[in-house]
Amino acid sequence: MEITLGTVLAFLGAALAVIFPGIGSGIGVGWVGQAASGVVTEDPDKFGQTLLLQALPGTQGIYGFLSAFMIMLKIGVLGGKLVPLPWHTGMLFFLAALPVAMNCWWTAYAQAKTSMACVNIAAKRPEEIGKALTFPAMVETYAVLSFLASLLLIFGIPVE
Amino acid sequence: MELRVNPNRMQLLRLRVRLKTARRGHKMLKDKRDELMRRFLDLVRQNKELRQVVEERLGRAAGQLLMATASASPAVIEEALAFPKQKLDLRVKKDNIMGVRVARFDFSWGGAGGEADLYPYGPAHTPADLDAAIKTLSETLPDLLRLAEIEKAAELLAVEVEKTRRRVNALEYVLIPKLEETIKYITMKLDEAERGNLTRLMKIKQMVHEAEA
Amino acid sequence: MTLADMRFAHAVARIRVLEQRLLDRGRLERLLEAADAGEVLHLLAETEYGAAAAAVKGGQDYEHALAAELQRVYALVKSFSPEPRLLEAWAARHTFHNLKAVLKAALRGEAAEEGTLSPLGAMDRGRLEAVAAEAVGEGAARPGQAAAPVAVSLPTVPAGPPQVRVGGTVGERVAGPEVEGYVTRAAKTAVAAYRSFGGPEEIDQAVDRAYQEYLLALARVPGAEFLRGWVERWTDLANLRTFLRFALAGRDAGTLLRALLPGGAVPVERLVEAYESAPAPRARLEALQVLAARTPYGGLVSEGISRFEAEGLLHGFERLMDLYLLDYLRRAKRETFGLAPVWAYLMAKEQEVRLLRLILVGKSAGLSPERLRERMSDVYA
Repeated sequence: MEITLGTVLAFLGAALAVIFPGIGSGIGVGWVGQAASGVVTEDPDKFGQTLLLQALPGTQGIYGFLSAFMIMLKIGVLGGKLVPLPWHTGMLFFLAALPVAMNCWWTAYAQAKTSMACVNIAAKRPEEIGKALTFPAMVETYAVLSFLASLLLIFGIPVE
Repeated sequence: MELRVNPNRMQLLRLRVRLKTARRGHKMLKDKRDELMRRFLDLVRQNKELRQVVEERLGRAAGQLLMATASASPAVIEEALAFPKQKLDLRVKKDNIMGVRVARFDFSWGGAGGEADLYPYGPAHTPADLDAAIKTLSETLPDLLRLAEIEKAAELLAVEVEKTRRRVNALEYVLIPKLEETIKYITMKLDEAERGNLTRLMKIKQMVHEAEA
Repeated sequence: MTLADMRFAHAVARIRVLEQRLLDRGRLERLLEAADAGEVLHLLAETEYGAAAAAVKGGQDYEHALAAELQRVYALVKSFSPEPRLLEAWAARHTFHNLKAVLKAALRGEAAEEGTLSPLGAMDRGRLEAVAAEAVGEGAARPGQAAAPVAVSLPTVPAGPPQVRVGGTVGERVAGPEVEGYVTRAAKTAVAAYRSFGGPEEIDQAVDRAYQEYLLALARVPGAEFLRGWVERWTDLANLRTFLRFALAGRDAGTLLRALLPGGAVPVERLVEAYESAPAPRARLEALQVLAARTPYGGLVSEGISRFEAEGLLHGFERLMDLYLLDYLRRAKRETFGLAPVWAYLMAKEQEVRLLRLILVGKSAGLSPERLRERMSDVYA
């Protein structure tokens, strides 16, 4: 079977969609985890609330993975029949993966920092945790938007 | 009660001399007592005034020190004062008030920089009110020494006043009355003997007349 | 914000929980209304001070309880902080304090009294005594010869980048200079200063200066901007207070330079200039007000001086100093990352211990709650 340049570019796109959001989410979850452990050391009752906050920057990694999954479906990696793509189609896959790769990467950091700030709210005013969750959730909007954009772009790419 | 003496002229003369001496001694002792009393009261008044000043100052210093200890740990205060800077040269001289030997304190600051240079610690980590406490205490020291001087002198004077008063009383109420009584007794005895002699002479004269007649 | 600040994530979150346990105004108010020191300790038993307060017998030995609490907090923060040495910057003053005590004793040829030593010092007594003995022995007069005055140049803050040692486990960095070098240098300059200027305060001043250099070197570490700001403000305030103390005591302008600390925003030279420009205490206070008016401390200085004129004590000025520093520390409440919240917590704890000491000393001396209240500054919370 022949591997075309298009296939390589599509693979690159899928890889980027996993790598960058994955790094972002991994580091983000790590940071929030550190902060959460600080609170839980002094006050073990706060485990549930802080776990929720820790999970928030983790969604970006999932979006990245889902985008990559869609690319894999489209180019037939999962069906076992790899479609030989012309280079420009491959380039489209690569470009379609960029929004999720870049946005989810950086929004994961931003969300992690907001979550850490909110861990402090959980420490100081546990009764306000509902409000506190709103702030990191706002960051999620932009991760979701980029994920949607990437998905729509991937769906829109014609593959013979 | 009179003295046990032979009532003769010799004794009478001797007692009269003693009485005269005792009277003179009594007057002198009384003068001494009065003067001691005057000096003593003077000292007591000075002592009272000075004590008020010193107590007021020490109270102020204690308040300042309290605020200093309230704003730093005791170790900081102890360390700050661990190495005293000023030296006080204190010399004790003897003085004489009406025969009472009292002490006089004579002192001078022996530190390097004079009286303004009191503080043996750095200012950065010590409470500021420590300065005030040290200053107040060092200002009080001369008065405190003067107070010690006066108080001791007053105490010694009081003892002397008491002693003199007892002597005056002994002269006034014991020795002088006794001497007077004894003198009176001897005089009476002698008068009695005189009268007895006179009566005897008159009787003899009468008997001689009767025998002649 | 740098990525390095993220190393404090755990510490900051933990601090936020610990901050909740600081004494608040309501509790201080209740302590103020207590009948005596024993009751204060009794009330403290319900707080973080519980263990320390319970160990005190008879309500007299509260100083131990306060020291034990500070020691506990230092150890706790050190255990979870990525930059233990930065956080020990202020606690290290106890080490330098003990050096002063040991040096003074060594120069008098005695052993330091236990009461002069702080239990919070990081270097033990034996090591400090060895350092002091070496420093005292070095320039000692040879027999049959008068002690030649050692020329002492005032030590200045060494220029150049701070010594930062990177090492330890991943995510952990040991930053800042070692304290031992500064202690040794402090001992040597202190002995030299004592021998050439001849006053025990020179020992304190030289050691304070060496400690100040240590503090400044730590504050120059990247990421310690908050600490730098704090040191700068503290130094300025300490220098202003020194100026006031010297002016009120009528001390020589020449000695002021050695008592002032480097590293503040108000240059030491300008303070000395102002001091020299006026001969009398009153004129000097005015000169200070003129000088301070051009700095952020103008209001503080004029209010402090008017307080002094009313009370005759500088306690009011020190209270304003505390409040000023607290205002700065409260900025850390808005920070989520980095050193600031941890530093602010430690300072808040120090402040709390100061307030408790005031209350306990006041209660033991039978001061009324009103008199104590007017002397109290504030809590961090």
